[in-house]
Amino acid sequence: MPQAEVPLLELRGVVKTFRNAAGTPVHAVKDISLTVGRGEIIALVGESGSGKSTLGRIALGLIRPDKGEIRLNGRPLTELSPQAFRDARIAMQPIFQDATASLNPRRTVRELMRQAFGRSGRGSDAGIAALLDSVGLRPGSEYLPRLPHELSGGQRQRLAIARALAIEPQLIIADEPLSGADVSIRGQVLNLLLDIKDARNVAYLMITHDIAVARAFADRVLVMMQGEIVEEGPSGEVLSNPRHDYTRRLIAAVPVLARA
Amino acid sequence: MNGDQRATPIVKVEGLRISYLRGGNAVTAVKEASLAIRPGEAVGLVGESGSGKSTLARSLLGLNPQSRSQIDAGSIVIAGTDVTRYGPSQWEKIRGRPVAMIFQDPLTYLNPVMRIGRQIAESVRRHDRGADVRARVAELLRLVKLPEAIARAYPHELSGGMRQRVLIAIALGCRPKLLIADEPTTALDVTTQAEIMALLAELRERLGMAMLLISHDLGLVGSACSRIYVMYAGYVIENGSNGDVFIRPAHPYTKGLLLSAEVKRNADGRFVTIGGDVPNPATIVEGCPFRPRCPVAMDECGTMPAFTPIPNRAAHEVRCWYVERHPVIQAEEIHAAS
Repeated sequence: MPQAEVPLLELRGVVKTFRNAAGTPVHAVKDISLTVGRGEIIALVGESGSGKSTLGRIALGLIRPDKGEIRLNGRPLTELSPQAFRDARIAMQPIFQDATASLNPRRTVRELMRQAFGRSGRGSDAGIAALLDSVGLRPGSEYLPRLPHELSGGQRQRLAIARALAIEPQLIIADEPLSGADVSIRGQVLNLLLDIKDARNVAYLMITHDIAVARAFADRVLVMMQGEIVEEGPSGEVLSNPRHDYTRRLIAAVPVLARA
Repeated sequence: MNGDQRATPIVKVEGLRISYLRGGNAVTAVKEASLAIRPGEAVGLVGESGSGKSTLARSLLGLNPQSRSQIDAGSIVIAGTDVTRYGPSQWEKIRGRPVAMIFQDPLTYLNPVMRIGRQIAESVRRHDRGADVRARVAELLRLVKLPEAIARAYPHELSGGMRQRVLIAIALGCRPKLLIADEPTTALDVTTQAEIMALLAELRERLGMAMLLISHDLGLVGSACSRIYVMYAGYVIENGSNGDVFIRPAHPYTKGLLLSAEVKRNADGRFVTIGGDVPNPATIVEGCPFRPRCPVAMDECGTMPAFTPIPNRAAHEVRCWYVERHPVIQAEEIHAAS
């Protein structure tokens, strides 16, 4: 198969069952298969308890599935040595929902970025400043000595995105990246993610409860309920013309203004 | 949803200014806010982080700690009584009636080691000493559509939606005339949110209760409230009927906020957004705080304008020099500019 046809990320028959405090099995992910192509934007939509965050963590290699296979660029992750696993994982970076919580409050922007660049050797002040510039923290050099609490919510979100970009990922898994962002700057964050995609051909797997964001941002939408994908397709089609009853209920529950 | 606009307001706030004391510095969270809520009406207060909306709401129950915050100017009148200078013990007496409040995180406001029934009973006893407490607790649980058995449960045994219903029951235990709901569904899933909002609408109808709904979610406020106040950086900058503020907004900020909330792309595939950042309350901006982000800012914007009524609209007012200078074509021109 030519390289271009191998999906960036492929999950096949992934199963994960947890046990709750009482020992009862909780089927968080039941036999899920999905693919993410190069430069593709996928939204994984569902409510709390749907298993969407567990699925994201499995794709990140943070949770090992009970069954199933994960392939990155066609290579199965589950069969790799721990070192190869770490190297392969490098292509995926999370942006967690609370940008503040994922940033050590005592580290300066310079230290937080150096940590993200790791051993790549590109974590010089000039390299960091250039990357900060590219996410709209301009001029980047002025942000180097600052601490997270000295940044606004929007700036922290941009810093989290810059950290994710430091290792030049092919795929960014973003778990509710906008839930902490104010409405008036949400469009700025989405535009930044689009710019990054255009410049670097990054793919996104966005985990979100926000139907409006999924509809406008993603190429493809997967709707998850109780560990299963109940509906899947191009975002416009799925969210404008839903087939599954759960998708319909989810859309109907979102309060909208009369003018929208 | 419409309250009687001639009736005495349950709450009337005028020119309110509230500061927090942090270290040796005072940070003014509410710079100038006025609002009135009349019996039975549903009023929405929208704003982003740092807008001062929660500080304003909490001041209506005396919940901003007096050791760390102070009212610098303006007045709060509740049911005809000026409570601006009330001390903690005076607030304690009126808290819950006529004004009660529910919050985003019910767990913080529930006692983890006390059964639900007792917590509701305590609220009933606050203002009704002679009440048949058992019967009243059962009635309140029925009102919020929870089974009676919940009375014996502890908060951690309940789901987020059920906890919010318990908090509503506790608030209703005081028989309030006004329920303040501060982001009551932000922590909940959309389907649970819809259930809680339907419950609040039904309770308002049944009990003739007014509501002040505070949220960053414009869709939520727009679907539940008949009158809207918009706050930005400590100021109420626009208010009017739901139809005027959300369908024919006048202030450039309200306009931009509504466009942002739709999460739509323009012809170039870009998301519509407001440039710049939401101001930090500690930053002091001379004049209109929206000026640094405003697409139609003018020289006059270096001073904060007074409220201007919009011609031919009942009780739609805005604080904006641009709108004041362009009273007829304001909305369209701002739309074109943004």
